[in-house]
Amino acid sequence: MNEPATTGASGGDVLLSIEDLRVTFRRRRTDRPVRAVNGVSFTLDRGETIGVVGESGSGKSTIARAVMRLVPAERGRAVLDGRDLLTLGGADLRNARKDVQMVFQDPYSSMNPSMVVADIIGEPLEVQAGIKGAARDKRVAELLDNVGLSSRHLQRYPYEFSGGQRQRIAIARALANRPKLVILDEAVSALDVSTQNQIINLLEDLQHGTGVSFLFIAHDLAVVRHIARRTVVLYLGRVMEEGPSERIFEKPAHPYSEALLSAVPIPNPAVQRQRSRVVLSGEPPDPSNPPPGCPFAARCTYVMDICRTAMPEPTPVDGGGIVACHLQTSGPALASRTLSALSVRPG
Amino acid sequence: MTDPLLVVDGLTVEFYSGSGWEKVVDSVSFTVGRGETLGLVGESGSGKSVTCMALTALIPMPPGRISAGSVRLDGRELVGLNPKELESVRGAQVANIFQEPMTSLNPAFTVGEQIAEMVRRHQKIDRKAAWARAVEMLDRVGIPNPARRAKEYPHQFSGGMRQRVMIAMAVSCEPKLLIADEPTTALDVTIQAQVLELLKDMQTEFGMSVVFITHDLGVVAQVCDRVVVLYGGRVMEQSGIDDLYYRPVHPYTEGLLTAMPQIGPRSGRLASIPGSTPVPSSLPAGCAFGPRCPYVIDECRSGPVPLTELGGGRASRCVRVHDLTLVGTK
Repeated sequence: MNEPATTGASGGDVLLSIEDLRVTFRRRRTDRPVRAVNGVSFTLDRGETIGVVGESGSGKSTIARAVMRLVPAERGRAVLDGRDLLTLGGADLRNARKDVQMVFQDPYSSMNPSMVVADIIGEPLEVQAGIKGAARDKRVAELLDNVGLSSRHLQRYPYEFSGGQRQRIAIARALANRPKLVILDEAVSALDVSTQNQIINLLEDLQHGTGVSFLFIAHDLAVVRHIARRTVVLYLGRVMEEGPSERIFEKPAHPYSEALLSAVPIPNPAVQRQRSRVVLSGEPPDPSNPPPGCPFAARCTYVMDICRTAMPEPTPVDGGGIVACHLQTSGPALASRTLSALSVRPG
Repeated sequence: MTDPLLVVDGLTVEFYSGSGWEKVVDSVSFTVGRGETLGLVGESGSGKSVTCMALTALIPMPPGRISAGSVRLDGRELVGLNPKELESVRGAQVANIFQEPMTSLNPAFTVGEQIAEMVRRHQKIDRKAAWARAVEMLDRVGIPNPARRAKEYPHQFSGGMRQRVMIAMAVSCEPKLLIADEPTTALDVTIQAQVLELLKDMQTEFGMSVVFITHDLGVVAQVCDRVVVLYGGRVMEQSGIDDLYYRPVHPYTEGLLTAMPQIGPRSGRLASIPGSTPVPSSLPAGCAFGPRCPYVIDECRSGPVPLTELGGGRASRCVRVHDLTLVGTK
């Protein structure tokens, strides 16, 4: 069987390879451990965007934080250009941080309110690359221009900007030292749709110009469909399905992906009225007390006995990617086909 | 047509900003029929939440004030009621649910106590009967083990379950009108689907009218019968749900519709409306949307644009309403 981590997304040049990542939280020593990320593997190609989707508690932000070394990983690797980010220390780690930057949902809380834009963007240049003085100012102006702001904004404070403009500043700061990877954690979720689209177009332009890779974390599936060539679907810290966005959004192979897509409201009243939908009952299980077997079993329309006892192994799917579902192996033998091949719908 | 439940006429809300009174909601008028769901749609700062807060005088006054207009619920004027009268309207006849249930629930009391308190406030029943009603309501909104869960505190509930608790509380006194302000925005999409379904069930069961405030045109398509589109505190368009999506009559509506990302096959760049939403202090003299409008002409800038009634309950605040052919959802 192919190892999902090494199949190398679309045969391209792998930049980031996350292998069997596990992050465990424990509030107190006596508490049950919470496996926020439980054996996650995927790869991201150079110059590509991968979307990571899932509901609250699926572990999508924790993956980002583990890669950034903001939370410790219990197990696994996050290999960027041949170096495992999770084991680096000291000067090596500081060096590697230049290559990985992050943009958060709320730029207001990720910027020092008492610093002007010139310093917000200039600080990483000084600290990480030792670029000072006139060279620094020149690069800051260039970065502002790249994100659609101008040098007349240099001496302004974060509060003087709209949400969309602040997110542009956050993006300029992230790109300051020409990183190889930028992690965008719900970076457009707080914006109005029109502003959100401006930022997404900007990100696509920047990727085109610099060849940076994006790890795009979002709960909005329509946005991920647009920006990401590949998508990872997470549920309770595990990868349910991964593969080319086109295949996942048109022919999901995992019942959870199918349900997730079917729950998205469509801005078209006639389509909305005619649509057959899988409305999931219940909520995700308690992460400190996960059920044995597949974490989605309790809400799954197609659940079988084996789903409640054993976690399914990742299996390759026709059209690309992998899926972790017993329907592929022990069920009506989907065997590498997508869910649409299952004509009889139980329940 | 029977007389509408709610008639809002020329509602104007101002806030004091240090340099004077700023109009945040400017002469907003709409009606809500019995059993109908009206959507109030707009971007941040469009005035949609303030409009709805003002209906039951929930805006802080000062710094806010309702400087003009009337709000009639079942023929009764709500603007100018004294605090005691307002209290008998809020909860009993008009109930609110908000985006973040945790800020609406008291963390120090069990959810059962909070629902029972609401019931006792408006109905003459004893403690025991009110508690029984609370448990019954929790059951009705689909909370498992309601008798046990009623004794738990808000923090012991998930986000989706908390919103169910809010809905239970809101409908416990069988209000005529439910105002739902972005009730599913903070929820995951599968939970959102559940809560929207629950709201629809409750509406049918209790025969309520609903004012649904949201920025999400996907949700609007799913739940609303008619829609009022707000921009810069003014009504830009008012239309039935199908007309709004397929035959919009205001350039701003067209802009919003074309900007909605679709789940379907990827298609080039995402559309966006240039610029950003105006703040009340910097509204232009003419059409509020003028500076961002692709169809703007000199006439748009010359003075306030009136709302043009188009028949069939439709209206548009656009000087070019008769000569533009706008593109809706295909």
